[in-house]
Amino acid sequence: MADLLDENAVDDLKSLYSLLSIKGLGAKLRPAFEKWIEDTGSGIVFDEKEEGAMVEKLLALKKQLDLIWRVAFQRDDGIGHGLRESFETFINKTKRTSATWNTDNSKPGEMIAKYVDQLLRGGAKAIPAALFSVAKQAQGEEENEDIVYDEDSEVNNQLDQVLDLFRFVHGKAVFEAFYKKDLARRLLMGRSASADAERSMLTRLKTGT
Amino acid sequence: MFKDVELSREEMTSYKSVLAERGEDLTPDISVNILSASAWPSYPDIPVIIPQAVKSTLDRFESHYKNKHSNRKLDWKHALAHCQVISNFPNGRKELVVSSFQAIVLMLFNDFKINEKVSYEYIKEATGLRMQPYCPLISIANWFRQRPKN
Repeated sequence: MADLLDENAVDDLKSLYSLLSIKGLGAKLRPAFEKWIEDTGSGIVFDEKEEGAMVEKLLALKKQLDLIWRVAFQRDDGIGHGLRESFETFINKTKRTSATWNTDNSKPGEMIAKYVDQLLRGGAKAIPAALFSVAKQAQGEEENEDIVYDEDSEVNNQLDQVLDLFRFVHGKAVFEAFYKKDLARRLLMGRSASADAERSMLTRLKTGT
Repeated sequence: MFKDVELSREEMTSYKSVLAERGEDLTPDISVNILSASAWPSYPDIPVIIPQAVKSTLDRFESHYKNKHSNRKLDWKHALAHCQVISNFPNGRKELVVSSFQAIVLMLFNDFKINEKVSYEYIKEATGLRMQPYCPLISIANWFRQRPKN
């Protein structure tokens, strides 16, 4: 199954799940799914050479997983839980050094804060092309021909996705420290793409939604 | 923090109209962000010598502010400031957006003739900046100054 996931073979996964479901065995796929998520996610988080792309890759991974869960696994409850649990596990994993003393890994928090800073400074221009919501629809979704490009909602959409990631991170204090510093700098330099986006982000962080 | 930015904007507007009423010179144009220490991250104090032309403008604002709010103290964080510096190059006038420290170094060159060299020691003395962190700033500032063409 790892191969199917590596290739994002959604239709094959769907067939696999459907077949197993006939015998009520759909849940058997859960452990393999979880393992693949943990392995792939850890690979991203601990890749020092590609640290700058961490958040992008995590967002892409989450998108892929959500799609697979919806389409291939028919929103299976147990598998859905497994998805969220394994996501939470790898994103907080510590490296095996004595320096970290078993505290949660702070890198994802820091990188997410940086990514948010880029978004709030640059607006929609800062969004990598692959993550646009109006980019060509993933396999299995319906075509929607009348989407109008709207900068504000693109940025909001990205922030929503990033917040979704953020909810998995345990080390919120790290993120908050970076976020505050970056916000101060944006305000003082007049480097905000949109005051509305700033306020809406703060509200969302405070209420946790 | 948002509130402080708003308030600062209002302070500046009222300050400028006060100056205008008094018929005072509005140049060089400054814009001050007043941050309440508790709401913002802490910024280190970096000692530096401000050129007199700029200093008197800042002092004037500070006394206005202290008169208005008698119990408050202002701590200038020059390291956070940036400026627009108008330079005359052989190719024409250029407007440079630089940090305050870079601007201070650039302004030193006003006291010298074109193509006259300015020593590192002189810059160190005149700006009061501990040089190591600011070497890149100096070389950038120098680069601007010495470019014969653009």
